[in-house]
Amino acid sequence: MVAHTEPAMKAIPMVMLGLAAVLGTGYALRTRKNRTGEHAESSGSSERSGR
Amino acid sequence: MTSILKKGQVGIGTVLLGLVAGFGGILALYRFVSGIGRVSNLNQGYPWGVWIGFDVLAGIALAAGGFVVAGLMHMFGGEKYRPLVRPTILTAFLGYLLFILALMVDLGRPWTIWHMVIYWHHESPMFEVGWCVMMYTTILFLEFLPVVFERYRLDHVYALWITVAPWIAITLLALFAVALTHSVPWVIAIAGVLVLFELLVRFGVIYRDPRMPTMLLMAGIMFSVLHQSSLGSLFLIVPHKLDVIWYSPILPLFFFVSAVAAGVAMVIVESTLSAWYFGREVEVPLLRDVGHVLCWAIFGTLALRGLDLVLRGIGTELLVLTPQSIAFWIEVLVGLIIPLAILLTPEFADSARWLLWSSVSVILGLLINRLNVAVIGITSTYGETYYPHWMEIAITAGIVAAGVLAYIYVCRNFPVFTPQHPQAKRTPEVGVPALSTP
Repeated sequence: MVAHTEPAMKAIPMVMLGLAAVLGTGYALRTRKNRTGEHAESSGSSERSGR
Repeated sequence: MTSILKKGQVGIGTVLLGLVAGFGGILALYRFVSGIGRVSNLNQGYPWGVWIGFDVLAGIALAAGGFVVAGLMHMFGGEKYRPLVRPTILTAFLGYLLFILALMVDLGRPWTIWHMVIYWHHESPMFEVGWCVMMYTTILFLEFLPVVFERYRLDHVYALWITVAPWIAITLLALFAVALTHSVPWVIAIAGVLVLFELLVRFGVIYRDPRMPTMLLMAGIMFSVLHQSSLGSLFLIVPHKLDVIWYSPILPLFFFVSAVAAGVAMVIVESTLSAWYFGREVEVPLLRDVGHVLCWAIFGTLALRGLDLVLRGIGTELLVLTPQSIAFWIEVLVGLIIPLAILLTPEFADSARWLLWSSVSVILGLLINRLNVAVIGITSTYGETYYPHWMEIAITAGIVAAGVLAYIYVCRNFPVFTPQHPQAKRTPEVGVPALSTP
């Protein structure tokens, strides 16, 4: 392996795993917050409409 | 705002683009018939010229909007960025197809390109870039398919695609991990996390986007991050040839950060110009948000570049008048200082016109940067010089013109501009009925 590029090439699996974990967790947290907001909004609109 | 063209009408600009693309195509054919030496000034000292610097390095960076907007901003920014997703995916998809075309012209023996599919060199950055581009183009194709399904009312195929596409993405990522790591534990770990995520989505633990599988976006981001940075790794092997102004151990990081900035800038340019061309409203509030992201990306690039130069002790090289130092200052001024000044001025940051100019400046800066790294910053050990042959430039111009023509054609004939957004007004010549997306 060429010495100059070795660190970059060896980092590939770590980058892949890190990205998969961070993106997956980040998306799960972001959408959970959104869904909570949607529930709150829908319950609020139900209250306003008298249901 | 009305469209500048009626249905079926071909403008003078389209004719000119067609002529440039046609002429470039003829010259490309001539290159394959007569050999690369007849159409280019490439030599032993400069085997990579304007085709690699502009078409490949800059072209891929400009297509980065596909993962920045369609991926990161859409995944974490929510629904408001949805109107930008399809045009951005189209731009990125066409960009990668044209990059592959340009690479075929540049390669000395293009007919052997399939070798990388079966001969695995997991220690080579070029092998990684090749695989990433192959995989990411497939991902972009999958991401663009809903537009085709909507156009031809293939709702049942759309439903099948929603189910199957995430597993294709996982397979591609796992195959990539096998090829690049040759390590069973790493492959199991990476594939395990991806499969777990998809299963949690399937079982409703994590929110499931009904229109775009999140796994596709994740795969696009992962492949993009890897190859945008690896394009910089390609130049790590020439410390004796690349000027110290640009040669840095963190060159891959520079390539990645600058690609993010250029990708975001490209989204603003493409969105504004296509809005004007197709007679749609420019989505200024949305682009203003994108402008904020662009501002941070430029600031990050500038801070990183400055810190790197200080830590490496590069000072006098920047102050002595050489072609390299002049090229560096032009790159920094055009690509970083001017757009940052525009975006930090409140009156300009709210204007579509100034957002466009700042983005054009960022893109020009990126083009200069990539040409600096690939051509101007390179010193030949054999004493040769290199100036692009006029046919090299004509072929590049032809490829760009073909890309613009393809973009216009697809936008006119497919529902690229999503009807979900209230400002997305359809023009009569598009003629594509709005379908309800599943």
